[in-house]
Amino acid sequence: MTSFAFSTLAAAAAPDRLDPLMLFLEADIVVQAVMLGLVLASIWTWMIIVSFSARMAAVRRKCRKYEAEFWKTDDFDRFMSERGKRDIPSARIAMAAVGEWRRSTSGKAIDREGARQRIASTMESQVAQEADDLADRLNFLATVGSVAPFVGLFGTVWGIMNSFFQIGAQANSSLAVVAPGISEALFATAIGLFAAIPAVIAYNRFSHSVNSLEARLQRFADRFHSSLSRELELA
Amino acid sequence: MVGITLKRGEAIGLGVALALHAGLVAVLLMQPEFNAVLPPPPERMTVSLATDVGIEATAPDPVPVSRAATAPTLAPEPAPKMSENTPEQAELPLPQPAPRVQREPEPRTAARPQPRATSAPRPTPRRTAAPAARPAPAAKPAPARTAAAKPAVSTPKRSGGSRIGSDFLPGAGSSETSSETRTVAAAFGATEQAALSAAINRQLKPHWRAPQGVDADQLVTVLTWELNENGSLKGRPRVVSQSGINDSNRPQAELHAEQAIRAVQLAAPFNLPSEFYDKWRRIRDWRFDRRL
Repeated sequence: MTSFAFSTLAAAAAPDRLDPLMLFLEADIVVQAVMLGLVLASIWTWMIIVSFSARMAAVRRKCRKYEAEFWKTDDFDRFMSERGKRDIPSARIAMAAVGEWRRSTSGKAIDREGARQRIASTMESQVAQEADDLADRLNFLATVGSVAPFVGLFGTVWGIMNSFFQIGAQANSSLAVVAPGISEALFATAIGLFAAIPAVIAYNRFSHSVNSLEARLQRFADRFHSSLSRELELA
Repeated sequence: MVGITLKRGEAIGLGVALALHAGLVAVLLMQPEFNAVLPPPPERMTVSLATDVGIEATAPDPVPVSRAATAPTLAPEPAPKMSENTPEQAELPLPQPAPRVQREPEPRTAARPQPRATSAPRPTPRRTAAPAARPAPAAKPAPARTAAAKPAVSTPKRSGGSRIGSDFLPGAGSSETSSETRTVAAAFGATEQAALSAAINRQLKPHWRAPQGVDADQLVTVLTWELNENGSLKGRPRVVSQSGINDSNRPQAELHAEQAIRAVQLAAPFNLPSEFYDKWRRIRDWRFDRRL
């Protein structure tokens, strides 16, 4: 209650502290729109950061577990029928390769070289598909990271334009007249940087982890492909 | 962001992000308790930069009152002629050196120039009290005794002694009771003068605005004005002189003088110590330059 009384007092008198709500409410409509958009962008950025890190950790753990079991299994057909349908990138790659293998070896005459190439390209496209799925939201992070400071700067320039106009209208250039407007305007840049900095950091980090996961999947696909082609020669 | 379907993990992430932002705003709103205590503004203090420096101390040994200058009291008997010096008188060693000591400083102090025209208006010879007070009574008994020894020589003539004795004007004050002959402590010295001019400048400064322009900072206007006892202006300030005028700042010269007069008029009534009114009754030759 005391804090509320204090905040109403502060609103009546000169603003002697940085109240974000006050800064937002006293700003120009354009600056308000900019601030609102930047706050939404920041919320969306953090949504992506939280959900992506959780998803990435789960995917990496599942892939590692699946691959370990995949190479250890004795009965390959039973393993594939039991666990092949799971929602794991490695499992989908293996399923795509096995499907192509079955289609290629179902005929009477087997074109070994053609089947090998088809299996390889199928697995490669599946790896690329998985990486694209993972990196789906990351372009938003890149956009926010590069554009949010400029959007905030736009709000600041607009707000400073306004406050200079007010100086001219009031014919009073004392700091007490100029300062609140500029402070409100700079708040837009602050929000822009607030949104942009985590977005840039998260984008770099996540694109690196997507790349490393893709490389891991690629290695898994190569290894599986070589064992499949060995099987193909024996058949 | 249009037409995006959220997966389950993303919905959770959105919730977490919203909660984090709301928490941040709440923290920013709750923070005033930390910086509510503003540091008190520093106290204003008045600094007077003394422009004048006294050459010597105004009153090294101040005395409250000083004796009035009076002639010595006359003896009831007529003074004997100075030529009738008896050998007894020569035996007295005390009175002889005393008048010499007393007489010697007289021409020196009289010839001494007035040390400070403003601070010490009454230059009085500074003498030591002891020799000045002593000789009159000391010299008196001697003739009395000689007169008693030779009553036949007494004449009906009145005393030939002058009322102006040898210790004429030993006192500088007006006191009838004190035997102090030194100068009364000066109440208005160089320090007070500097403080007074600083006070006048301090009151003029907010109202003084020198005109802008080419070489306008070289202009100097000298004003003289008079003040009433309540500090208000008596009449209009008068321009005594103006210097620093050249071709480029000639248009500003008149404005400069006008601004100076205006500064004085705006600054009045002056808030100055009334006990020194005779010092600031008439403020003469006050320089108005760029810095005042």
